[in-house]
Amino acid sequence: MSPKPLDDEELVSLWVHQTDSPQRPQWINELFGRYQRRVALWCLRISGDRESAADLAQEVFLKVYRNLASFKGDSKFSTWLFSVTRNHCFNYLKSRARRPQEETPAKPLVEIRDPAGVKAFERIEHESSQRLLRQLMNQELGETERRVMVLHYREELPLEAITRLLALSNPSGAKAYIVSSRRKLKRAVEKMKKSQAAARF
Amino acid sequence: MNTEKDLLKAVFETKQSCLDLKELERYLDEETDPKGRARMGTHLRHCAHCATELALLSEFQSGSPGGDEVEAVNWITRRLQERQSEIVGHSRLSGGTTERKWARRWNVLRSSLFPRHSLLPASAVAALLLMVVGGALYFRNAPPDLPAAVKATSPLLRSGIIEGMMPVGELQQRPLRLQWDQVSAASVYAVELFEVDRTLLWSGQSSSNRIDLPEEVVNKILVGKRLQWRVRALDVQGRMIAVSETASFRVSNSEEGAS
Repeated sequence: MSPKPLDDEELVSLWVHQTDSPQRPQWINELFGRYQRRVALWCLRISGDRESAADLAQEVFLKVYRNLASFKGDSKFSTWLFSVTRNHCFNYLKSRARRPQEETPAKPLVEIRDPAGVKAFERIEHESSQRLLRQLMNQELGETERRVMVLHYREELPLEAITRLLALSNPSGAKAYIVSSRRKLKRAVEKMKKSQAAARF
Repeated sequence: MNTEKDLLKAVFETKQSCLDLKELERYLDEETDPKGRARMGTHLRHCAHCATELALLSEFQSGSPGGDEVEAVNWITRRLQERQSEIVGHSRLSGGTTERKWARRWNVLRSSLFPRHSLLPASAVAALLLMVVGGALYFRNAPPDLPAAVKATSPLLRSGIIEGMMPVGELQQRPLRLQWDQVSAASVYAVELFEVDRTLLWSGQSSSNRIDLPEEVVNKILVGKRLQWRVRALDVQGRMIAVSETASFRVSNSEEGAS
């Protein structure tokens, strides 16, 4: 039977516990070598340029290296690495967005107003609840539209980073999905209002 | 809540029922029981936040660079390989922080003791101070002297692969026992028997290099069904010192009964 390489979790366990072993550099190099391309790709999509991506990826591995002893092994190493990479990269984007020279425009892409001049989303907030909006999103939006909305509104990622992260190939990228989502939601709100009005009569 | 942005952010807030990364990992790897999987599937259909997390995790686990990304990813990977020593040498860099502290202390000391125009031979003073600082660092970082009894014991073994696993491959009869090559310094061996989808069937421990399978486990070994197993060697402190590859076997004989 030919020897099979150690799996990730075994490499971590050996590295953490065998502190005197001369094989430690081999274990850590092997472990990191398995994930360099994945982290590189993720960081490239987040930053948009290879120089920043290389720095970002190095910071990720440094963070992993410093915290490797805290890896408990109750998830796969790759999932833990994903969590570190994701958080580090999202924080990087947030800190970059806070720099005045790189600030993204705060103006909404599309302003949806009803005939009375009240913003449709504000009306929803007053008239109904977040649950209703969630329901409308599930009914009206496609999978990619919802993902773009989550990444933009919850994670506050810039649209160009979302375009790269989700590998969107359409010309306007994530921006097009935000526009179409808002349009669909506006239509759904109007439809809902009409049916509510009809029900009153 | 005043703005549309705040409202949308609140809509995507994590709820108590949301899945954590470990659950998403199991869902992705199809390691959940059918009931749990159905529950997760329902949640994922209605929760945009969890569905997005799942998509990102999946992309991280198995995504590959697109045509125009390949060259950049190769370049970044090369840079990471070049910088690997900087990353894994960080424990030494931590020491470097101490060294930087000492350097700062040296600068303060030097500027206070020997102003810029001092006529004292700076190199001689620097050498003297380096000896003092170096000596302090050496004694500070030197490992404590071990008692003779501890020194006399054998050093930690290099970890390795456990070999000589039996049974493997196609079998004529159900196995009653698992065995492997002995690992010196192993105090106990932890054995796991599982199905090919990594569902654990049975686990046990043995202080020798073999273990008998309980009868109920033997009965679970169905003809034609491939099973896998592996063994880990642990030292007296419970640290893993060697591990086997995952071996597999299948009973191909339709004749019932164990040897």
